Amino acid sequence: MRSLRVLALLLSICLLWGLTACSNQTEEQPHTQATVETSDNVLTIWAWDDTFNVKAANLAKAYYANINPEIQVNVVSMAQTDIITKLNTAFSSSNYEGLPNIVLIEDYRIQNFLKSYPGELRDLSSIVDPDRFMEYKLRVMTEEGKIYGVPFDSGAAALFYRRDYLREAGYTEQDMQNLTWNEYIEIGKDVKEATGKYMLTLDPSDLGQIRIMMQSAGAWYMKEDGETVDIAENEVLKAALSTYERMVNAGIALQVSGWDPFVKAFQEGEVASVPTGCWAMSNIVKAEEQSGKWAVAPIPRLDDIPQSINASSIGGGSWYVIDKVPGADLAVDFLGKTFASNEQLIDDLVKEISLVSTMKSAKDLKHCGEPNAFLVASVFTRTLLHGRSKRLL
Amino acid sequence: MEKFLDKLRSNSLLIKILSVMLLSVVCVATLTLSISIRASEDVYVDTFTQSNSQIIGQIRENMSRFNDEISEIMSVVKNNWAFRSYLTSDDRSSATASYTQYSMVWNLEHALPPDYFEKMSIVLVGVNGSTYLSSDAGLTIPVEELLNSRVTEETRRQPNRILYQFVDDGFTTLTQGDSAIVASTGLNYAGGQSNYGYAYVIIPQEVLRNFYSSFSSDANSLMLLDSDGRIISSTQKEIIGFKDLDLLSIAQQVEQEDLPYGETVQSDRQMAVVAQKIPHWEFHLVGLIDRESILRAVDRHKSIEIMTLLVVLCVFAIMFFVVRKTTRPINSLVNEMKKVTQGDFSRHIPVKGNYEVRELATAFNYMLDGLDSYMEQIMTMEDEKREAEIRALQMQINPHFIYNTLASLKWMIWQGNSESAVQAIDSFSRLLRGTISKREERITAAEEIDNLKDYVFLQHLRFGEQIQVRFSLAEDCQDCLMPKLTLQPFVENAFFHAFSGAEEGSIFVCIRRRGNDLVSEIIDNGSGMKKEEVGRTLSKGGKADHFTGIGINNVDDRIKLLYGAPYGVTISSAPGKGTAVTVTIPIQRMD
Repeated sequence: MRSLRVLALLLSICLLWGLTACSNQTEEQPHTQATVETSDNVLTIWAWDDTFNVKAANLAKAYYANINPEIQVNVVSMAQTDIITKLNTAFSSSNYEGLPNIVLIEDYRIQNFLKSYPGELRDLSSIVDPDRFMEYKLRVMTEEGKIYGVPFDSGAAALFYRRDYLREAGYTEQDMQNLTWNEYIEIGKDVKEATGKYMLTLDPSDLGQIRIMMQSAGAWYMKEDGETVDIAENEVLKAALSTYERMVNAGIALQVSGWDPFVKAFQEGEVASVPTGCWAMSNIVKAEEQSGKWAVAPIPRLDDIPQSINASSIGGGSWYVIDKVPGADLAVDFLGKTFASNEQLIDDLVKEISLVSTMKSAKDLKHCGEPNAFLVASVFTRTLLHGRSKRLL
Repeated sequence: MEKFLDKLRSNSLLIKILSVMLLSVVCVATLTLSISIRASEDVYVDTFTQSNSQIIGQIRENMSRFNDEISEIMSVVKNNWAFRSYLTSDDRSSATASYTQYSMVWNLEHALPPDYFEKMSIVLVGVNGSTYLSSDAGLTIPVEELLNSRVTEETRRQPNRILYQFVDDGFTTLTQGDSAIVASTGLNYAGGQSNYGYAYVIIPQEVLRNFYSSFSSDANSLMLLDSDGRIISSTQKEIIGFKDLDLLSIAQQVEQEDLPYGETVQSDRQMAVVAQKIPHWEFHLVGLIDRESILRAVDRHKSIEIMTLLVVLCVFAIMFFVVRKTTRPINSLVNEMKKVTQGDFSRHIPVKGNYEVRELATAFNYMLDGLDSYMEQIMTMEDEKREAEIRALQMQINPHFIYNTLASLKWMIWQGNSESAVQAIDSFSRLLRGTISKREERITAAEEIDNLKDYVFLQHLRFGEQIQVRFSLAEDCQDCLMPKLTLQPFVENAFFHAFSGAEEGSIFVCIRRRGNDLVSEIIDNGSGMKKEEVGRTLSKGGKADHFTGIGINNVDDRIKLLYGAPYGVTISSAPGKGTAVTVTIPIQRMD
């Protein structure tokens, strides 16, 4: 009888345990939410121009796949302004979710990031040999002796022009060499009269032309120290602005807003020339039916400013590694084996996207010397590489 | 095998009760289990579905807020002079045009919530062919194609609304090749019908997905259906762009009848469908909840099942002990009763077990006791009856014997052989006294030998002395007691039957001790018997000529009656050689 009682007790304990076990489990409702995790062997790269730097990143990806096939590289095309906004948001809140490992940043903006958010970008001194890249390019990404980026494209400015339109207006290639902006405006008026085409596009929200003009004289919105604002007494800026005004008043400029109408303007043959950074080349060559109609000449200089020369700089970017995103070491390895050292890749890029590299040895590369079928009678890259780039900031 | 079957048979009661109980316990447990599992599953699914409905409500609200923001942007585009001027004016190079465009960009940028239009592009297209795209995106299709597209066509019909439409190819460089949702509206003068341009906001899939992706899991997939039933956004990318009219009709039913959820079957899986219509967007936000996946996520049946199994086992074990405790006394009762049927009344059944069995055993024992005592009484009565019978027989001297003896005496007296006659009369009277007058049942061996000697003397007188009888009595057996007339019937039998036709013979009577037994042997060298005849001899009744009514068959009975089964008479005989009769009784002496 006693054993029976013990059994009964055991049984009731079992039942109680079972009940509580059941009720416990009812309470916890598993709501598994998918979490985004950065895998160890995935690299993400952000760039903004599908015809140019995105394409370059994809080529580098293909090169890297030969070296390290396990790594999956995602190249994401984003609007440049979005990239900047996202980086600013992430750095200021130290929330790195969704950020890429490698990002292309324009040379204009990099100083801002390096100064405002020290430590967010990885020091790349180990993979960037300063002797191999152009000094003006390295200067903007160097902070206290450390190089933070891998230089990519040159921002050398050039004057792309339609040979056919200019010939129609009575100008030869010879006439286009080493112009001043006033001469350029006069030519523009003639072109407008002869062909009905505008000479150039101007974007009122993006004063790229002003920057080109200032750079040709080595001036900027700020003084040499990079901090003192230099606008009121800035003669170069004043000259640039009056040139801009003359261009607008002359009616030779097609007003555009944003990247799309800008590109469309020359792709659809609405403008006779494109005075801008050499990176525009990749977009110019997209309009295949215009092959052979283009030529390139040095960028015009300011008239009344003696120090202004027929060379300038606009844009141009470099690759940076975000330090706090998992996979930074891998990203450094990627850049080290591609953009920082691989001359073969650079040579291919010259051919594929008409890259004007800032790698010094690029001048001697195979494709650099080749005449470009698109730009008749001019050896594109050589012209630009020989053009002197002045101080940027 | 046989043994096992026997065991089964003897435990059949236990087995029957146990199997019935086990069956019912298992039935009840299974039924309860399945009902409770089913109920808890239903509750769980209901809860999950409910929370999904709430989630969907939340998403709906978010999307509705998003719509507010888009419509704010659209109203800026619609109402700001700069956009109107940009899209209508042909002046594209004057300072005014420059200012117009600058204001346009400035206004738009200030209308956008900060960070909001990452990855989304605003596209403005004028019927004059001018375009504007926010951010650095570019159009991937010619303007004319865009103006003639289905999206624009639809917008043209309802220019003053904001329409959300699905496109297979988001026509900017940022969404190129991917499907997207386009919010569009017509731009016109104050509600008129003629549009000077169109505004599009291209919403890539990721942006749309962000509204709900964090709410979806393996068990529930969320998607947006447009009013044609096309799946325009989903956590499963591969189904985007396909039409699912069944799902649409279920979703519409859920929305219209305000059901908690509808049901459908997709790729053989039972799905609960929760749906809500998103205002302004004209989309249906549909959640598909996979019942199995949710339950798999819960998966607590195993523990319940194990619990039930444990409980069933426990109950069964307890039942086993209880039932066995009840049936075991019954079993032993049955076994004991079996023994009783074999004739042993003295065995009592142990009184133990539960009340009923104890009562039964007591009653049975009582009955056994009664039976046993009746049996005993009957046996004693029977024995007494037999003894009385034998006594009566031995009192009874055969009258023929007396006639014959008296005739012999008369013959001797007539011959004048008075000495022998006196001797004979002495012997005869001694014999009569020993047999009839002496009341004692048992006499000493010496007295028995004396009686035998007197009998032999009388026989010799009658039939002559051809048959010699010799006696041998061991010294230590002189005073041993034996029943009266034990040996006389055998000697008599030997006289009359052993020597039929023979001239002479001899009989040897010997009494001696063997261990604790007194062994008397009557051996003759007569004609003997065959084995079959031995039995017959023993059962033969008394003949007319015999001394008393006691036949040799009575002797064995009497000895067994007095001393018990191990004692009695054995006869061995061989034809032509003789017969030996052995009478064995225990040694008993006079007190």
